[in-house]
Amino acid sequence: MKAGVLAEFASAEGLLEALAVLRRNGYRRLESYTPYPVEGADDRLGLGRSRLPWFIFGGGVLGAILGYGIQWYADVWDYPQSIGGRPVHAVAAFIPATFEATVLGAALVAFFGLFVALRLPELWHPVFEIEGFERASVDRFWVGVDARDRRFDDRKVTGLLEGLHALRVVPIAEDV
Amino acid sequence: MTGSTRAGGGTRAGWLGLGAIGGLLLALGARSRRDAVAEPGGRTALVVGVVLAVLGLLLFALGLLLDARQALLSYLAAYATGLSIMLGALTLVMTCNITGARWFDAFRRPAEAIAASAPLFAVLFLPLAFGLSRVYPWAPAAAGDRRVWLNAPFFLIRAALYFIVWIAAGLLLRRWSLRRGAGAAERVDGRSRALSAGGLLAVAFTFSFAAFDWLMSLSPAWFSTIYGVYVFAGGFLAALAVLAFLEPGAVRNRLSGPTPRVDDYQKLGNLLLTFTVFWAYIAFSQFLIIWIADVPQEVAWYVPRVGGSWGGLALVVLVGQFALPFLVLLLRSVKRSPRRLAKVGAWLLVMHYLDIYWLVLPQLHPGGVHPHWLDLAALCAIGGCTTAYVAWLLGRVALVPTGASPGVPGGAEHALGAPVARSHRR
Repeated sequence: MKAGVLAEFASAEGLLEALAVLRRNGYRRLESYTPYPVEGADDRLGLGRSRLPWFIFGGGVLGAILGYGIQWYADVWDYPQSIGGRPVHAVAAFIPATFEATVLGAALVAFFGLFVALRLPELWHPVFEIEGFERASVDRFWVGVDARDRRFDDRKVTGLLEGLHALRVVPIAEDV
Repeated sequence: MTGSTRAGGGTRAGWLGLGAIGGLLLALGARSRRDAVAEPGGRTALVVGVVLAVLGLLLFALGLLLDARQALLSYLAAYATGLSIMLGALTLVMTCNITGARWFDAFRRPAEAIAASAPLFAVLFLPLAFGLSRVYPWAPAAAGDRRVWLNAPFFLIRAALYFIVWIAAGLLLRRWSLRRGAGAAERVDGRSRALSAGGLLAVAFTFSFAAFDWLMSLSPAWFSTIYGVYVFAGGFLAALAVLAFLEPGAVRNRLSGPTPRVDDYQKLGNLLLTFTVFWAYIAFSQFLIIWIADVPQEVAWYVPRVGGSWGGLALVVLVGQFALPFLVLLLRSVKRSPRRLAKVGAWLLVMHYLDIYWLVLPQLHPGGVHPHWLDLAALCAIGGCTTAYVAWLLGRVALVPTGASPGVPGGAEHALGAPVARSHRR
């Protein structure tokens, strides 16, 4: 989210309660910033399952095919040699490198796929303007309501969050 | 001449001693610290187990008269399957005691009961101790310097040592855990943790050497140092599979501790996935190293096992214990469904048996797979005995401890599946 209202909470329980209340009030475009993964937050944020694992699986399969293929190309097709009388197409000997290529393929897709999914790199974000927001990675729990939410109303949301004993409620905007 | 009589005398003394110790500890292990709770589901398992055990043991006894070597090797395959599961469960309990895994609470009671079934396996070892000279080619007359390690008296002394370690660890851990109940703030106390830490080391060595002694020595000329780890990997995987298979029924019959949450099943599923890979990794490492070196003495063990119908069975185990469960267990929906996970568990148990079968039976039928009715009889005997014993242990304790106070991790709060305030779960 680039614009909307953020609220700071002192505990994960506070965050979970706030998310539940916001959902009950019909808000759907919610956001949270927490120092560690809070169990149960995913459901309340309305997050579906990520599709990234399927791409990672595909990356693994592709890596396996490429890994096996390059060995087959080199040892069977392009430059076959007899090594101690072993078969040229030595399946067992091809497995370790194929395994490594599988892991490499999956890991590359996971790493760069995550960057794409998170829209990284992003050098500046409106939340950076909030004084003390960095404690979201230490001991504070932040809940955000996106301004693009259909029901978004600056004053209503602020009032609702203040009623939930937020430590403070801060509006953010894309253009500072 | 004198050597053989001495060996014979050693055998007799050995099994007598083993029998006495086993019987004593069997009684000890069954002595419960809590009042018996009638559990209809547990009773069914108990009755089925006893019927299977009696049937299987009778047929096995008949087999001993008709074809002793086939009977004993069939028995060894079934026995090693059961034993590796028991030791896998023991390893799992110890590991979770050390790491403090909370997800394991829901599976703790069944796992502890399986791990505490070592006395039963000490008793079930007797036919093998009896029939030593028929099972192991080295027993009648070991060749050369291998005699130092592979001789009947030393073999039985080692077996006794292994059982002492397993029985002590299994019984003590279960007893301390039961005594603790859920009334205490910490689920695992200091001495359980200490015993688990030391015990893991002891079990790792005894398990590995038992695999060398009882399975690998079937072909005395061949050796592989990773063999013990291979059997462990399969056994640990099968122990997880038993828990997955057992749990839905155990929950229905209130035989398990706190009701597992969906997340707990997922953690079990993740471990299953990990250990299918681990097993495949170990199996492949052993194969690759021997295949690539191509030394006649080492390859000799694989030649009957990868050719002909034994090769077919090897492929079935490779696909059935690795490729297929690996792909299936990648799916989150399977891991989060107790019923589907139970099916995967049942499948993996069959595969583990076939894996051990593939280790043992080529010794008797090098030409190809030779299914025998005694295979089934031995499976009934071992499966029946263990099922009955574990069901009996589980049925004799209150599994949701009555003293559980709300708010205690693993107590009543857990049973209700309260989702909040558990963000530090591991």
